[in-house]
Amino acid sequence: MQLTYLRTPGTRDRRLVATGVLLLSTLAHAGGCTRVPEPAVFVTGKQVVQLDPKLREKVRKVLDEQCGTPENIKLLGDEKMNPAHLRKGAEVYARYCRQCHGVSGDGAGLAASYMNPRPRDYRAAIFKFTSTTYGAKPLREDLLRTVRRGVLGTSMPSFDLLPKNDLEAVVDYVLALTHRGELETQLAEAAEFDGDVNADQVPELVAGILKKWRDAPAHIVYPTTPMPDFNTDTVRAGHEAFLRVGCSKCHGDDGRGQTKDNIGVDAWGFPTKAADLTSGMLRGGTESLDIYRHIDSGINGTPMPSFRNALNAEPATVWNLVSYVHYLSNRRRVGDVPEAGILKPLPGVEPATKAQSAERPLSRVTR
Amino acid sequence: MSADVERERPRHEDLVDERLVSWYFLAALGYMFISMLGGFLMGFQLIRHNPLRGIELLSPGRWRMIHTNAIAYGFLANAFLGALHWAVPRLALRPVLDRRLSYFIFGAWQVVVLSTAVGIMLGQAQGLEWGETPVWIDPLALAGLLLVAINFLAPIVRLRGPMYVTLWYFTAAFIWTFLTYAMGNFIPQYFVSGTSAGAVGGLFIHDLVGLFVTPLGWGLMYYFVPIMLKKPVWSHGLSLVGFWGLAFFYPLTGIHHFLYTPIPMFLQYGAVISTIAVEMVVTTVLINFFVTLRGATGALTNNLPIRWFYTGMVFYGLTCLQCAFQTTLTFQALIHFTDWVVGHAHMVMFGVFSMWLLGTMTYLFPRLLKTDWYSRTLCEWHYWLSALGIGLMSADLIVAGPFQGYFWASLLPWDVSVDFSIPFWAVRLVAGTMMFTGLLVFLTNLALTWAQARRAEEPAVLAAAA
Amino acid sequence: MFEKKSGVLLIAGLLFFAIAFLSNGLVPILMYKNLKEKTAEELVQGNGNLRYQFEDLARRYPESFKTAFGTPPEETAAREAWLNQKCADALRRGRNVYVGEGCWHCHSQFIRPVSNEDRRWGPVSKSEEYQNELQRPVLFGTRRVGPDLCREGGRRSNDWHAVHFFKPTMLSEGSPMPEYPWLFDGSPDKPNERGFALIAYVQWLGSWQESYPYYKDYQASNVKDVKLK
Repeated sequence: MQLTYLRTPGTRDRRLVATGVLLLSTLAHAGGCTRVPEPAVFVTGKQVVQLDPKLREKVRKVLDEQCGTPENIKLLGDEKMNPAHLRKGAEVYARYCRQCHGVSGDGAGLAASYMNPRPRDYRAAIFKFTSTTYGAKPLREDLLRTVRRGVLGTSMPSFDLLPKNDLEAVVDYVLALTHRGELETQLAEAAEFDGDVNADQVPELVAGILKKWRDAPAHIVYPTTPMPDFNTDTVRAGHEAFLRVGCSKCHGDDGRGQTKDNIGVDAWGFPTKAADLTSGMLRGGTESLDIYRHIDSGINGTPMPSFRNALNAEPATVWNLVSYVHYLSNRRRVGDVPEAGILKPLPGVEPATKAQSAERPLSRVTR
Repeated sequence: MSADVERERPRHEDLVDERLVSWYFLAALGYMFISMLGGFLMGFQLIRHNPLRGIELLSPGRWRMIHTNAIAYGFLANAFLGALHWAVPRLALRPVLDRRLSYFIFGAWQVVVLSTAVGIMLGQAQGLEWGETPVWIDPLALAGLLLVAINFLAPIVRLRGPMYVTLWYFTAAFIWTFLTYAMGNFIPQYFVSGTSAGAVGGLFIHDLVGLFVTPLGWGLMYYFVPIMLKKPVWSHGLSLVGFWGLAFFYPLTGIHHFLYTPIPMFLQYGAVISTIAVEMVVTTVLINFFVTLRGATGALTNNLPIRWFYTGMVFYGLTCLQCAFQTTLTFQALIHFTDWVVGHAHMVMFGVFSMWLLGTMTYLFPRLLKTDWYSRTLCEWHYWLSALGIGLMSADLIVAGPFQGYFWASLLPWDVSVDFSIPFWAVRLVAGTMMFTGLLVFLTNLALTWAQARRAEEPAVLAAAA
Repeated sequence: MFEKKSGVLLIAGLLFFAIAFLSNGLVPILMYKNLKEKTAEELVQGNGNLRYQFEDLARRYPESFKTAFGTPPEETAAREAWLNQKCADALRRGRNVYVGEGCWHCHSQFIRPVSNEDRRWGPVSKSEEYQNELQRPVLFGTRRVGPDLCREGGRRSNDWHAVHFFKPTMLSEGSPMPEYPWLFDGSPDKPNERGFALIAYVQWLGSWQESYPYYKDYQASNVKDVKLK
């Protein structure tokens, strides 16, 4: 039996009425307490806003043609995709993702400003936790894996109980939003350069965008040597490398990431820092291969660099570092509580200025 | 000689303080009103249309506890005390220990219940189901229960010879209620924690129903039903089986609230077996009462209190049957934590005991006010709204329960089960509205009857003065 | 005997009640008497998972944290002791908020070995998990409108919980959970003392498990038993 478990507010209200609760609905509507669904309209990107109104209109038109609307989105370059599949994706996205990631996938949903780190803005088409090299696009499976297991330690929960079909649909929806963002940026750049939006150019732009995604499997990171058995020696060697190679510069000697210089800005313009590796929660995944890949290729969009060149000559060191990271992240598990340190405020946490709190959608939050 | 007659056949006025009985009943109805308001708030919250969101003192979570406590300690306890003040002196042929003590208990109990409500509203609840009374009130409540026991046991103790069935139940209930309250509120709070506290908590939850509410309720049935039907209860032997079976097996069932917890498994099995034994005992009691009705079934249509009582007994039979199912480990795996249990609880507390007490009130108010009901039609409305309301609510929740259980076991996301429950919760709210409307009808009828009684009194007073 | 006052009073009233209490109440008490009951301070001691979450609260909401708990001492040992003490206080307070707000009437705290519960939430509950001051009376719960919470710690971050307590529908579309704005000073990023306490309490649930915060998905690493120092 196929269960319809996702319902938009509209159908839900209809169902209530169907159940014969006219009285209640009347009461509730009179009290003005029905939930007002966020208007499902794509927000115009920053670069497009800066354009001349006429050009803005044109860009918008091309985008609507190519990528559709939030409820009826189109996945760039995949005309054969079943629209019902993407509509299912839209339903799942509206139910579980929009609150933080926003209708347009701009990472500016209703709750986003209270989240630290910020929810991902897909439009830049940069994803942190991938199995590919620095700068390459992620695999579709990478996105699927992140949705499934969440990003522990951040406000991104795990959605592993969603049926497989829904997960697939929502990942395709996220990809559609991502491609829309990419196309929007490129159209805006082209429009600014040419002073006009040339419809003939669009297929070329689309092809350029899709090529990078198609190439991603060629950039998967595979360890150059087999994974050794981890033991006290590898951990010791890893610790030594941790201090020598430069990890400790940001992550601190103790791996807690509370050093003075540990502050940077990510690709989305928000302050960020190197992770506290002792938290017991590795955001990009707990498997050795995950850790290997993040050391080898860095983390997209963050100041965490690739150590591929630095450690090219010593593949064993990467594995030693992996074993040391395992050790750090398991410390709390064996009751070895690291000291609190200076309790440095998280990046982006400053005494709230008035301007900041004014821009937050609190009025919508508190009714 | 006349003094002897007086002792053997004391006058009703010397035995029963009718004013106190009325006061207890009015207080009880007031708390039922409050309790139902709490139920409403939670009902609206569940269908996500709570118009009073985000107000600390009206938080549905806190009012959910007021809902249950106001019914247990506000409605049931007050209504029972009122009925006891009528029945015990008449059965023991002696008044209660001390009239002033009675009024003191009345006042003290209202203080206990009101401070419980206020305490819960301020967020001071105790983490014990059915015992959310803030810890600082617990000793006061216990002292109150002790005084109640003393006040009522005094006339019973002076009774010579065998007692009538009602008094077995009442006598045991005074002891049990006191012990249960002491055990449940103090041991898991001050002496043990964790799993052992869970075992004691389970005993408390179920003893409250089984050793406080049930014996008092059945006591009243054994008292009122023969009076109204003008015939004795069918079998004295079954009465004995019913009382002693309940006394032995009911206290042993508590742990069935926590099956599959880390409480030792042999105790869980013991609780399951005792529970099924209780259901068998219950069947004998029901047989006894329904056979008593034989030849007098006309009373169901023309005697409203009898109809309340027997409707309650039908629900009692249903709820016990349901309990025999849900206590088995197979069924428990599916329905534990679902609305099935909530439906069960409502059917017991409203469908059985509130029905009996509302029937008692329907019977006693005309006698207390010395006038017939203002409107029999309104009484009928009260009955039908309540009976159909609770029937709908329990059926709705009991159907929803297994679905919720299957949704959870199916490992679909949690919200799927919530979405699925919404229509059921909406129906439940409709049912609750019916019951609440029933109460309002009853209160209106009562007010009009009271006014009628006042009007009838005035000419009499004038006549007397002239 | 069966219809006499003495029989009813002594046998039914006292004896049967005593039998039930001894067999169903005292037996588990005696069986578990060797499982020592932990105080809140002992629960915090050595619980790095909980400490991480508590420190995260301090670093995430520094101003509100100071208002609620005061300023931590500069000196390392004193600061550690201070944090542990404040964290224990927060657990106690958080438990009171959890009980007072009626959370436990919609959220259970035990995983049964049936109905796929271990696959939904994680390891089945064991007796020793409940032998502590915060389970007095025990909060097994009786109804699940929302999910079980005894494996909730770490599953979601502090900022998620803050927003969710402030207004659940901001994150969970269609949630029937009530709002708790009084745990905050006007906005979800300004928890007050009660708000901090409740978040800490929820993050504590399950923090004693080795599998925290992965629970059912946890894969034990072989680098766990390595001693570096």
